[in-house]
Amino acid sequence: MKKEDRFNQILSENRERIQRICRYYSSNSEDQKDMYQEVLVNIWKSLDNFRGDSAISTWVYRVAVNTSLSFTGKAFKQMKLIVNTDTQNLSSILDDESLEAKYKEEARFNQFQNELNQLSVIDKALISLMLEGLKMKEIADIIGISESNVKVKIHRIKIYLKTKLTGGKHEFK
Amino acid sequence: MNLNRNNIEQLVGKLKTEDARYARISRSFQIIYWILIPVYLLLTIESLTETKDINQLIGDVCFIISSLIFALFFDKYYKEYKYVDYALPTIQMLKNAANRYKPFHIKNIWVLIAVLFMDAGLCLNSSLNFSVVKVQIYFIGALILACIIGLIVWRIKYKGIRDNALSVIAEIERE
Repeated sequence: MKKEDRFNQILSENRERIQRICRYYSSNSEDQKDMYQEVLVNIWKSLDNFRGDSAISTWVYRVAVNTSLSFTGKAFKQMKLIVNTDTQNLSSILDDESLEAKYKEEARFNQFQNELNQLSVIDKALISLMLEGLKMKEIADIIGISESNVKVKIHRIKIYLKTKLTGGKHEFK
Repeated sequence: MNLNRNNIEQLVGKLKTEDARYARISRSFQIIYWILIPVYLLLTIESLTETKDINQLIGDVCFIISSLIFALFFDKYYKEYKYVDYALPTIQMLKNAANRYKPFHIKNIWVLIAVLFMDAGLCLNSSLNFSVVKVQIYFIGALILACIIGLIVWRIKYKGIRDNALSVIAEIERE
């Protein structure tokens, strides 16, 4: 298959996925469009090296996450994680459905959003993958660390968020 | 956010042009070391049979070796830097970036070797009639100037990128 055809096929199968990832990193539609275009460019540039060792979705996530961390772009230093109240996997971060319902109230949700943006760049990347509903193993494959390391990092992020959101009342276990 | 079909086609068109440009540059390197260098070698042999000047021969061979090293080095360098593979695991991509943006690379020793061969070529080539001392002054001056300019460019353009990459790597690897 020609490179152009492979590219178009990947694009048609993963358009939504890429767009969702882009939405996490900017609320501005122009910035989202720029990032979307940059992801497409990087998919093209990396396509010659795709050997099919991983699932195409994992491969696309890698390109998208690595693009978001890209050092030439303006996004790196001011990178923010934008989460919507209708994000399907929100409860996976909050680990608590009642807390999720509470935080869907606008003011509280803004606080949650602010706390998310206090996280480090890599923690934001981990959260964005979690929000995509990826398994720990898949996240580990994308970032390139062990599954247990991913679990530890995500556990720490959850504890940090809960502590912040409950005003420091959450107990560390 | 949607790029429409036209936008995508334009984007793919640009990317294909970029690929074609790379292929052209790569072909230029091939021309240098598969055509021009053997031609220059033949001219050198012809010149030796006419003049019987051994110094001239050594000088010409030094030029050829220098050109060969430069062509091979820049071809390899261009291939390595042409495209960053964004599909690598994040930590691997970051490590590659940190390595790519180091101010000094061991492999750059090849450039120095090529420069030394060129230096020897200029000194030994009797037809050029250059003073050995003058050649050394110009060469050392040019080398120092190139290093200073390179370091300034690195500091302005790449140091921040490398520092960011190293800090994210440290964060990912922290237990």
